[in-house]
Amino acid sequence: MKIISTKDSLSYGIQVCQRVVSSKNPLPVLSGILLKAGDGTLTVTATDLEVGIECTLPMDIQEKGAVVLPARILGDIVRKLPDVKIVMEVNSQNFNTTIKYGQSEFNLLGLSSEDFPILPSIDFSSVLTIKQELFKNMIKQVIFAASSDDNRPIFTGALMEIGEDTVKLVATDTHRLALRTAKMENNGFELEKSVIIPGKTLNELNRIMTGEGEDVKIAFGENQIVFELPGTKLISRLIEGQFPNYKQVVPQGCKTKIKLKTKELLEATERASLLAKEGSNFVKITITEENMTISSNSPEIGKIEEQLPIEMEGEETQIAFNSKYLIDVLKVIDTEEILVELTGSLSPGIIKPAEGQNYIYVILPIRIV
Amino acid sequence: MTQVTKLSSIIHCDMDAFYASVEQLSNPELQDKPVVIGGNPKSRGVVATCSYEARKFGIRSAMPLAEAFRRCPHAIFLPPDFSKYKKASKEMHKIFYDYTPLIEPISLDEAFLDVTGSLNLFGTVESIGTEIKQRVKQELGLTVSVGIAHNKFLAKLASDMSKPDGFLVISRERLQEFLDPLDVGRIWGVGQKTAQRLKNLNIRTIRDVRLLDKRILENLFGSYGHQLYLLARGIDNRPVESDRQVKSVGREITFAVDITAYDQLERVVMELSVDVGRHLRRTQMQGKTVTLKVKYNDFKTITRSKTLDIAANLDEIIYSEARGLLENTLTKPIRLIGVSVHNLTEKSDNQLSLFGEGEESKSKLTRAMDIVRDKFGEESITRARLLDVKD
Repeated sequence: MKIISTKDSLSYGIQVCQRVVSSKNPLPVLSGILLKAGDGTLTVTATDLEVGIECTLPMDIQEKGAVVLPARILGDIVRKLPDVKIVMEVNSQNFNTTIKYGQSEFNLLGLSSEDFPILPSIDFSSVLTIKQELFKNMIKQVIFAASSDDNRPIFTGALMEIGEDTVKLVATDTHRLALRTAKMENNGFELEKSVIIPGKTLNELNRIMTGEGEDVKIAFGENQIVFELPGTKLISRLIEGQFPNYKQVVPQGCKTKIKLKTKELLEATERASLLAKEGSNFVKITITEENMTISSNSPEIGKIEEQLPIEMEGEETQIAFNSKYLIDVLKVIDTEEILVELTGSLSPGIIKPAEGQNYIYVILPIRIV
Repeated sequence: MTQVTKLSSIIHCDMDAFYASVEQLSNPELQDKPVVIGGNPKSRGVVATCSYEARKFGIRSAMPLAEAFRRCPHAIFLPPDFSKYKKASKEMHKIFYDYTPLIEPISLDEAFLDVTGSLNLFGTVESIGTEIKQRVKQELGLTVSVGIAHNKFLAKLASDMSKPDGFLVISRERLQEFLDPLDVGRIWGVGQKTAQRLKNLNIRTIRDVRLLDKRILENLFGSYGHQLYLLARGIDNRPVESDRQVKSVGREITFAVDITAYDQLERVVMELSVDVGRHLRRTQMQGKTVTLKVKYNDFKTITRSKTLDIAANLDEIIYSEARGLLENTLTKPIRLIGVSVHNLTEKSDNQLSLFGEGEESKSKLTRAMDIVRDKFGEESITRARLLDVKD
């Protein structure tokens, strides 16, 4: 195999794939990246058997072939190469690889591509098409609410529900829940379907999507999902199991309803969180006719109290939240104002944009003993 | 720049037969009689401590009460009264505080004092030691053994070696001479099993250990081998830590026979998790990180940790994390296993949960079990799975 590339082209392909490579994988071949030179294209592939990314680049191919190179070191080298013409040549007998740049060269021991797993091919006859910009926004508004606790895999992913004319994305770690709905008429998809996509997959996808250009195409295989972007394909396993009935836990109606500026609440909460008690991290919120008070108290350090102007309807109330859960959501709501709906200090609260119906965040309070 | 290290002056104070002495003090009828603290000799408990009169009959701490009764049927058996001992311990600490604020209590009856900074005020370390001994006798009516050296290991060794009513100074110049002939079991951290392992290798005295190459010790005992190497030379750099903050709560167990059955390990991990959980709840704490420690029969030790999203103190949660960490660890026979919880915070609040009906009922059940145990003792209620572990 022999290819001629620019630094940027090669570096891009490797960088897109490199992140899914797991350093802890017991199969040596999986700590590598597969490079495959075909007809005028170089295909770069990496997988940890849960997620696989395949990136196809137009390339000057002198001789076809394939090799597996160690991901981390290859990534580091290519990133540090000077911006000159790069020639990569692989010995087809022992897979020793030479990377020439200018007068210099680099030698790497490669592995045969034969042992590298083949990513499953998925039928693209039924495809869901979404604008990159929209899907990026959906992921951003939802995925942070997923759990990182591997003991309960269902909560580490996001539920994607495809309906007749909507696509919903839901994630929860059981202490808060984020639900984003997108209206999608003529999404091209005929079936109603719901799947749980691993959080890692969505984070990777979000990283790869530029937010502009062609739409992202989504297709499903048996327990698999594939996202296709121009030049890049991301295949992931789905999480098996039953996502809990999220509709049931979204409160209907409330006793206190307030409207305030997103940014003001975010900044006040961030300041209050500095003095929130370590561990539970909670801030106390008191709502009266006149205003909202946010306070926190660390007995050994000090305390803080802030007042924000609000528009309010209903009962005065008091509630405590984990400040992180508040900050997370306030960072991803893009409207200037938000609505907060509460029903007493022990029931779930709702935070949503003041305009539009497409986003709901349910947050569970902390019971202060 | 050369660093001038000032020699530390450490005193180890260890009360003699503390619980028994306190009982004898509060009830003159017990004076000069064999007193055994632990409880009813027909129960399955062990001796917590016993008076020196009882020791003449061969009764020792940690001996089953039934055995103690067999050796000395006319001994007076008393259940421990911790509130009484705590009070006496407090009085004792008041005396210590007159000499230094750097006090590290090890238990109710034992403490390290760092008096390095107090020497200008009180003269020599020996005179402080003597004074403490006299005042404890005069003001509290109790005897304390005092060990003095320049580090904790040697200070404790000194008080242990001179018990009862002891007073011993290990000077820096003569420490090797002092250490060399001692049995390896005297080294801090060397328990019965390690001692036996050393003896099997014909290593009997501290001198034998000292003559071994560091690498050999490290090959034999892993990271503890390095510590052995230092301790055999009387080197111990642990500082005296006053007002120690609890950083973790853990339990571990060394098996009498190395374990090779996963099922058995799981059960032990459950037992340890329940113990840790109970301790956390008792002290109103919760922790975010669960750690599993495994020591193999070749003394190689591994630890694995998992950090939770939300701090916990329920047995189920600790157990489920610890069991998760246990997976794939049984590569060799295991001699020790431990479960601990780190990253502690006070439990003063409760994050509610969306789909948490299960969790709420779990914590109610745990609370109920805790109340039963508080009232009727630790053995009164337990999990079915742990039932046959005790036998």
